[in-house]
Amino acid sequence: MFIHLHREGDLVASVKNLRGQSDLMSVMILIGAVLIIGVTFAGLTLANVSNFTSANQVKTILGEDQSSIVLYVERENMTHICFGVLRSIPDYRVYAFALVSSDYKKDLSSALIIPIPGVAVQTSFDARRIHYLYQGEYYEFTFKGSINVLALTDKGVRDYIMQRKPILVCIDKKILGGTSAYFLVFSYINNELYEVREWYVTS
Amino acid sequence: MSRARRYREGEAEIIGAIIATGVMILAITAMFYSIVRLQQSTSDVYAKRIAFESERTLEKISVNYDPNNNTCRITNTGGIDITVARVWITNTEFKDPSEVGFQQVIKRGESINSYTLDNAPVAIVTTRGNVFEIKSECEKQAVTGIIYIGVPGLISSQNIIGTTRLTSDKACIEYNLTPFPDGVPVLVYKNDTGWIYHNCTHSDQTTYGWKIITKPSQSNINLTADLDNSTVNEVIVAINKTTQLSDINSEKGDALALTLLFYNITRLTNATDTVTIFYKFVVQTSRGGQAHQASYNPRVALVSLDSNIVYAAPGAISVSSSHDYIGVISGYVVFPRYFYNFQPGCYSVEITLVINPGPSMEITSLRLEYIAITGADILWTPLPQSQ
Repeated sequence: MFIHLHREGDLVASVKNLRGQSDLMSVMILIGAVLIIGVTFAGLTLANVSNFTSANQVKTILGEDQSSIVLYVERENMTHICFGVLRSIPDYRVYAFALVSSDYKKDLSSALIIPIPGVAVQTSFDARRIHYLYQGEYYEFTFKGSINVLALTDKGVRDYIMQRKPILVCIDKKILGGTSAYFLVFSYINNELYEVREWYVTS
Repeated sequence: MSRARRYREGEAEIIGAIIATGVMILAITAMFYSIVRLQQSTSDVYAKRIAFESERTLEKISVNYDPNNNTCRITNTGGIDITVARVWITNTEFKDPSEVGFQQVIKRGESINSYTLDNAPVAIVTTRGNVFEIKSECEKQAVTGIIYIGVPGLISSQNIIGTTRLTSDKACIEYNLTPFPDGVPVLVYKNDTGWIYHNCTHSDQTTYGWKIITKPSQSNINLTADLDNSTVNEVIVAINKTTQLSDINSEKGDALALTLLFYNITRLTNATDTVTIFYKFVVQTSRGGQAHQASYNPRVALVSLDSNIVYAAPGAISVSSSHDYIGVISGYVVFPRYFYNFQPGCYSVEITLVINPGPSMEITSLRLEYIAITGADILWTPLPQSQ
């Protein structure tokens, strides 16, 4: 009788032990699943939010640049056309200039001249990192290779952009060789160039 | 399923829900903040750009050629101070203003040093991106023979009306006042020699010019020479009542019209492009205890008395008040060749001011402070400055 009872007690205990282990396992699996799903969800959400906010930051900067940059023809004669470029709200912002053929296939930046010394340097820029503006949307350049843009130096930004003084950029029309071209003003953001102004130039 | 397990599952669901809700709130807040910031920034920069563009359009530079000294005078005739960013010395060479001794800030209404035609800059560029051609404009005026009226400030009249042209011996101003006043209307002006009067008929050359007033005696004239205290005396439409000269005094509420015809004051040629006529009236009213309200309707016409041609236009006016009872009506009228296709010849300028006062108002003084003509030759020979 005693033996029987003892065995029955062991059995009950071992059954309870098994149930406890199974409960623990299921809770751990549940928590693990919740954590995995939660962390994945949080990660995905935050990644999307981060993309969204950084895209909005770029849009904000571009919106400011598009609204602030003033581009006008300062002088023009048979051989040269000179543009004045200024920022109506002074800020430390770097800009670059390029000249491309009207079909966006040929780099004509060699015709660009900045007569004020030290305000810009020629920089080779991968065309895939250059975005042109078309009907309010930005598109990557279909160009292959790189473009020789003229990017503002620190002196150029401090002495002109931040002083609201117009920078002078001239184009030697002879180099255009009778073709038309787009003079483009880019804003430099996160190692990419975004077009903010353009002017159709005919020789 | 045991109660403990169900309880733990419930716990896990609550924890999961809290984490998910937290993440959602964080994400939505970040996105919302980002959108709001973008919108705020966009509207802010657009507002600033609009303000910038309106400032940009307010920048105006006038270039006038003075044939007596062969110089070009540069005047800021815009509504805002101008900062010069660059001076083009030739068509291919430019300098900073400081490098060529060019005044960097030209205040509103300020004229800067005169340049001879040879050393005048080709153009100046402002910090708002306006380019003003100087030399070509000055050369054009030198060639077409437009006479510069030397005025300090934006538009002043002292040199126009007070000392040189309107008091010229060749001046003939015919005037007409409606309704006709009680007494003889006469134009009166005070210069360095004293009170002078003008009463001209263009067909009678002996009536041309101004004469000193002898009756009443100078000491008995109690008119105010400069009603609006602008330091410039006005031509007063006075009433001669034999023993005294007085300002006009209209009937309460009656409309009043003054027409002034400046006989053959200007000449239009084939080279004349745009003629602009500036004027300034000063009117004193008595409001009779009622609300101060009156409408002023100026009209300006270029009239050829020989060929019966009239080019007329309503005035662009601004009305201001120096104090309660004085109204200053100044404005200008533009006659572009494009619209009027001028015939060359001598022209008179006819200025009419119609005043419709309120019911209990009366006009107690009516004066012309200046008339200026730009873009066309002025034929009336100026007198020496002392006169």
